Amino acid sequence: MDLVEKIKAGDVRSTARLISMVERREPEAVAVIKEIYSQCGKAHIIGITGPPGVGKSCLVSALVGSFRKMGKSVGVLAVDPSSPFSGGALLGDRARMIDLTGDRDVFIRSLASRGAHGGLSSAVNDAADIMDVSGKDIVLIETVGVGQGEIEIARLAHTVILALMPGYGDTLQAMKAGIMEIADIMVVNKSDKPGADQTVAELSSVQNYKCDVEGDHWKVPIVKTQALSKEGVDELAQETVNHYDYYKQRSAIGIKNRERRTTQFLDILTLQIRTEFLETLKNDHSLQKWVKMIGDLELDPYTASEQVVEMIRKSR
Amino acid sequence: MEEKTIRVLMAKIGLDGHDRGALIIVQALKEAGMEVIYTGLKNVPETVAEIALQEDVDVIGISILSGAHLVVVPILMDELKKSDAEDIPVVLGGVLHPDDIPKLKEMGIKEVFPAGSPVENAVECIKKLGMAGDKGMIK
Repeated sequence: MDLVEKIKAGDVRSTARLISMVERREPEAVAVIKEIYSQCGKAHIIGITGPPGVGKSCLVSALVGSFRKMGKSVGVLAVDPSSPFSGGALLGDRARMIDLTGDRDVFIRSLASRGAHGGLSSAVNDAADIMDVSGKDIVLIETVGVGQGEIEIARLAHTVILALMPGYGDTLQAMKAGIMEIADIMVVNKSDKPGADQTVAELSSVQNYKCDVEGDHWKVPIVKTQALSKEGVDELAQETVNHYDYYKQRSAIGIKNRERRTTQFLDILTLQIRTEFLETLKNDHSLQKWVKMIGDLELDPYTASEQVVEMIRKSR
Repeated sequence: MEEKTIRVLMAKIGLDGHDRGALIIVQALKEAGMEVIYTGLKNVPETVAEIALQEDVDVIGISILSGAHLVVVPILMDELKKSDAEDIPVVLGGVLHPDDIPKLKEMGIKEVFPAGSPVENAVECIKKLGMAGDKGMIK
């Protein structure tokens, strides 16, 4: 059986190894992605994001349980940060998902961010495609515990869940731009803690509608959950399905997909151009010359950059 | 193409409620530039094997302080074998009698770190084992 067949048949080890190779951008893995690309697009991609410690991993674990009750197979991609110093990482999300082991229809994979910004890993797009082609109905992506500006997940997922908890801040926090605006569904987790209703009230007073499809609005639901006892989690799962159906009924899934693929394409293109240009510079040793002049304040970086681009243009 | 990052699974198997030692090793591996997946406490060997496969780890590290190593290790090795994954090297650390070390090696454990072993030894060993494995496509 060839590799693509094996992945479609749900072979765990082949799938896992392909994801590792994609993380290292190995040409052999990229070749497989090229081969499977046309078969993508069947899975519902859900992102879950929010500040560190609100219970994202526990929510993912409970959500997968709810989706399994609906008969859906699930792939989970859990992203944790890499150390900017050593490059190492502690991938601890999985420790919250132990309940899910022993189920052939659940595949969990931890990814380190490996220097990528925006709360994801650069391999996450390809890993989601691999899960999709392997036949998972849902791909659930848990981002790094983010701050207020990490919104990459909104370009990748069909449905974005923003997880918060009681006492996260006041109305002013909720009004800020960035992370609050990307939520298709808001969750107030740990709702047994004091102040949960207050938090729900503050969120609902600020932002209610999103993503208009030709003048039509999706009302952002606010769901109270307790991930550990699974309270409210079935309702949350149902809301994510509702959101996907809302898009499907309006034939708008294609729009979301095109947005995702445009971003992915531009990222790949930028990387390739950058690598190639920097390679050219390194080869004729001029990069160091410019770096030295800029460092000695003999030349400003804007002029240097213009000169480099001009030089590359002429050399073609 | 990027250089290889070693992925390690650090696992606690059995009814063993202490993970300070495992966490110290996790921290040291992270600082040595490795990606470490930690299972949390009280897992069965089957779970550990499943996680190792899904996460495509290069090395499995087992931490046991309960004294159950001679019982749970053969189950783990058997599970790995059933999944054609016996090539993933397994090392073990924890509280054990010196007489058990040859027995564990007989079972396929690559290296044993009894209580009191220097952390650097474990890190070096895991790094070496992690670099040695085949990382190509599964044929």
